[in-house]
Amino acid sequence: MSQPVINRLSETEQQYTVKDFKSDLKPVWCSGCGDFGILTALVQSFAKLGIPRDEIATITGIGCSSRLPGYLSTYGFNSLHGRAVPIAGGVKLANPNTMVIASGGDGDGFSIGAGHLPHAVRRNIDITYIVMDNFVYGLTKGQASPTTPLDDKTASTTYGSIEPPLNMCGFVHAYNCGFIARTHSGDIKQMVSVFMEGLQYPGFAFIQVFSPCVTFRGNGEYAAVKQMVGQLPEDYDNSNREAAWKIIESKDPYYTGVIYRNDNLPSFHDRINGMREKAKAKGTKSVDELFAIFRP
Amino acid sequence: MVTTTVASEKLNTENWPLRSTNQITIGVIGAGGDGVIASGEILAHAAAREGLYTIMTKSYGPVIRGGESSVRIRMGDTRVHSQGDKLDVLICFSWKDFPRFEEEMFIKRHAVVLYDVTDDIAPEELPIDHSLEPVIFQVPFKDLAKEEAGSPLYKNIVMLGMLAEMFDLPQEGLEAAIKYRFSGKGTAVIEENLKALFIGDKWVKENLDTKFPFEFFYTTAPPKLLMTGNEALSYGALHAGCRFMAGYPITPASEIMEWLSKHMPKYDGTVVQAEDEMAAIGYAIGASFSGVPSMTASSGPGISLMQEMLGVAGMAEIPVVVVNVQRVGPSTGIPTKSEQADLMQAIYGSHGDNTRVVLGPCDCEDCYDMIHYAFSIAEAYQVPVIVLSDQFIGQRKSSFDNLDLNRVHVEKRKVPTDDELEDYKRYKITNSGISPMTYPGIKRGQYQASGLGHNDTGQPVSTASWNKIINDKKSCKLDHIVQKYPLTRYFGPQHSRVGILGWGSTKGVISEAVHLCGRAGIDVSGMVLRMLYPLPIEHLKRWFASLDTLIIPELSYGGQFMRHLRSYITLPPKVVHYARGGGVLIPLEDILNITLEFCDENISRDMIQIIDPEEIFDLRKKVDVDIYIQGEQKF
Repeated sequence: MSQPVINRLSETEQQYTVKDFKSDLKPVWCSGCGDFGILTALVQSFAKLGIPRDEIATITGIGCSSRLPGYLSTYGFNSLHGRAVPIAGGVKLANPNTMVIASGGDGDGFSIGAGHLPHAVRRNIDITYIVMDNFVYGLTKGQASPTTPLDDKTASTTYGSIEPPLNMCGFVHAYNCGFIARTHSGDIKQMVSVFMEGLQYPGFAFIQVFSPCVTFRGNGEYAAVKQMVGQLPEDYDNSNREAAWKIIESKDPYYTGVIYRNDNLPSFHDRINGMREKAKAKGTKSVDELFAIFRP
Repeated sequence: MVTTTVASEKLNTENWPLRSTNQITIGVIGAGGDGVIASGEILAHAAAREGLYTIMTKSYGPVIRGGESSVRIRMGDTRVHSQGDKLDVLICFSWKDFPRFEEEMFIKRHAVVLYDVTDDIAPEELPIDHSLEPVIFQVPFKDLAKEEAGSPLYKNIVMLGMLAEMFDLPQEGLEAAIKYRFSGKGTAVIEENLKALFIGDKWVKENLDTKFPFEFFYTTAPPKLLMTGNEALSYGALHAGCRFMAGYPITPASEIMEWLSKHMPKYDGTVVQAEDEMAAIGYAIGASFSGVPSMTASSGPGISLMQEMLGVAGMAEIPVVVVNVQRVGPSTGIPTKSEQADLMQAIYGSHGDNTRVVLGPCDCEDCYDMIHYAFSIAEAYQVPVIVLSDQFIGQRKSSFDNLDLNRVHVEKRKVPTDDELEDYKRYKITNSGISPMTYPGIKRGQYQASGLGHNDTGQPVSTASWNKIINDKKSCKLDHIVQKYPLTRYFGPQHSRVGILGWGSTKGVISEAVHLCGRAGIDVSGMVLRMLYPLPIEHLKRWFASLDTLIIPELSYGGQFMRHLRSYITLPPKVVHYARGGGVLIPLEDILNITLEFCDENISRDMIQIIDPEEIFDLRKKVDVDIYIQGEQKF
């Protein structure tokens, strides 16, 4: 069973509202874009968690969803296509006290960015990676992405896509990700619950969010997503790695909720601290004193 | 049973030694298992230990481990400027492996050549230039090692013992070096190696009753520092305050990541071996965004992968230091050899008119200072700084006098004041171009970094007017940087008609050429640029004004340095552009030949084929050949 969600509100004197986390900038997203819902759920989660906005950094790649930092009043970096994860990793490792969120789309994360995921995941860097999956490249106007269904016609697949889509949750599960969740932009309540749990998970938390693109995939997309998702079985134990495979691979329904959670994984920072202790075991000279190693 | 032959018995040795030198250059070649690399390391350690200047380089065959290899070492009691064109002494354990290293192992006139008496090749058949009248000895390395030292594996140490006795190499230094090298293997191994050294020594005393063509004469001094350029750079980064490094293995830069991964954790820093070069610089930029001075290190092919990231760092004004230990390109090229052809990539490799600073350390000890400058510039001016080292500087062992650890002051980032946080604008337009920079954790300092065109708050805008304002801002930073850090080095007289201009490791042959010419009474000056972009135009203009001839040597087949200069500044009337690709280093002899041709009309062309740079004195007949040199270095 998943851990109870810890509400930091009781620990802090400050009470935050969503207004504290939203910027004044009007999003460039189309009317009806699923990303609006995700933004709403994210700022609600921040408010509930009670973390000051100056201690949060949102790192994104390039794409529609990667414009996210501009709409938040946290620290943000709208960086390079496919590179949110390593940059977010650097932000976190340099200052572990910052809450770091990486975000971007399906192409950003699983096409050009795919090479970075196995390593951020296996290192178990304590960031939360939210992928806004709309099954298409929106910003560049409608090309097929790694999650576009087979046979779908897009700007770059006139005769229908001939590349079977990949399974994001399966991908990260293969690399031993300690927190895997799936949700969709139509369910604010579930998003807030999943985001809050992921943000507090002390390791790499992966959250796939179906986020309809009405502009390039039509107005029927919301209904389509609603149809394809379903709640986890009542008796499902999300700490069971093998059982998680079946849930992850299911297409009818695409299960939503916290699909897998491993509370026994040391975070990268735990391991770094362990390594530092080893390095210092025989005593440490000052940097100036270390210079003596170069004189025969 | 040990035997020897002196192949050059026919030479008249009555006048020997013909010259006395305070610098000696030794080359050793061998097959796998011959202990060639160990002998080079021991000699370098010994030299440094006895206070001698030295430059030692290693060369390997293609096998991943244990194949044929060679070392070259030049040592002396005055500053060793460069690698030395030709060898005074050549030792070859395996003539079948000689061709691979031939290009780096040319011998001087009357060089001493040693090889094993049991090798099945006659002295006159050796693949060396016999017109130079080499003095060849066949000596019993293997037999002595086997029969008296206890194992054929000791033949390299026996050889060192022989050299020590033949050329009066520093005995105590060699013993100390052997103790150091085998310190992890127990006293028995150390004792056996010392015995092997003594055996070689003793054999020469008892069996080689002959004079040698030259004499190595030097004064010892207190121990000098011994480092590679990569070590100087790594330690320097730590000292300069770097506490985050991400890298990816690549020859010849991997040592930087390895050294820092060992030492940085002791100081609560972090080193990540990333999954590729884009991630490496990505982690570094992320760490810098968080407020920590960060760096990455790679070589040409890896730097190509990093170009997009360099672009976003320049546009978003995020400090980052990127080290390129250049190797021969293009593409995979020759990973183990040096070149200077990544200059254009360093300046222009990213798309658009990007902002960055390019620095070029010129020797090992300069790597220490230059990495301090790199961090100072990156942090203070919030720009990416590329440090262009090369394989020759990065991997050779150099000994030198003390380093002033705190010579270069490292500036820190400008953080906003309380007032400035009132209505914080991350990219506020200022006179210096520098906008105070926050990082996560600073209250009221939140901003959005991005590679998009933006206004002074960081908000993306797509107007031409803001594009110009931001371009002006970034560009004025470069103006301030080059004014504060021209970083040129000048050698030679105040006025001369002929000048030699270079950068990076060619500084070695340039400074040596200027030095030698000066001693021979020939006026030539030299300059080495260490700030490569932006160019210190004023310094160059002032110098060019007095020159009528400028010689530009560079290890770049495409002549990148000359073209870079020419695109920013008018060059003197005559330019001699000596551009060659990597694979071998530029020889001092070539620089001298060119320089003399343009310097002194009294020297006829057929006089300028110098074989030994010290023969320059014969040409000028100004200085006695028996020289005992006390050097002075005016840099």
